[in-house]
Amino acid sequence: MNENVLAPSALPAGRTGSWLHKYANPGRFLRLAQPVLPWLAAFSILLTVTGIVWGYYFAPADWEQGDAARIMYVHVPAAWVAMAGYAALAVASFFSIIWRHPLADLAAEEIGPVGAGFTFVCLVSGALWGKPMWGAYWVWDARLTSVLVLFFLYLGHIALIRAFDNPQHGHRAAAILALVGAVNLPIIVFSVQWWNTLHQGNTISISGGSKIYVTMLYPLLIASLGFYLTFITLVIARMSAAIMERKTRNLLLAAADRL
Amino acid sequence: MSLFNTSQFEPFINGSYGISVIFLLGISILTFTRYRRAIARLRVAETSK
Repeated sequence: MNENVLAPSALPAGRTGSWLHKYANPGRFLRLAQPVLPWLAAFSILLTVTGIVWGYYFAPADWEQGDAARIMYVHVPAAWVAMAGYAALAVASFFSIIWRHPLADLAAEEIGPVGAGFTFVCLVSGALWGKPMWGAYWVWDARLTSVLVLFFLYLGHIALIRAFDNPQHGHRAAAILALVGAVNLPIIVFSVQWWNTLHQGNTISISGGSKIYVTMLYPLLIASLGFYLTFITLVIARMSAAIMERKTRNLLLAAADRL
Repeated sequence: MSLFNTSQFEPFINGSYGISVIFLLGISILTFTRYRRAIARLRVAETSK
């Protein structure tokens, strides 16, 4: 039985994509992922628990918002992971469309539900932050609305990828949706600059000029790193499980054929 | 000093942390269970080959 059940040798690997096929081989992915997963899981738990506990119990209250600002330590990491997850989904879809690599399809299939979950957490925690600060759980503000669109894009991708009898058609259609939907990412990021939003502007800037004190920044960064690692761990574990499930199905089918 | 009476925020803070922890725990348990089951089924399929 061919071990690489997801990347059959018949797959045309052009000169451009040959190195991708070499390093994105599902069998090789599984061999690399399995020893790494326990470490990833351990660091994910450590950083996420540290960040959340630090934010909930030990970080100082905000001078203006008081303890309500503690919601930031779950809301902001969830929002960042939701956007990064969709960017990863778009990249996987790009690889899927250009090189038709099955591992990219698999990645896109497994990123969708995890990313949708983080987006849901972002929306709910944001609503629970909005009520005491703005007096409303929801307003049709540019930032909130664009994140809601992101959630619907995730749901659409999850539905579309499973909507066809031929899985390849589903992957192709979902990949196109993911790529078109990527236009929403800069809209989310810049919405607070382009429009006069109720949602506050960017507090943290990579290029400097962050408006947050270090006693609040450190737990936020640790929680964010924990959420990112959790996302990566979950996606790798789900991809590994999917590869093993398909391998099992192929083995069982081969055994049934021999009967 | 906050502009608000911060004790009134507790349900919102607890709700936010609650939904986050429930999601993280839930999806982690589901993924771990699926991963372990996939390993076990593959092992059975390979031994009965």
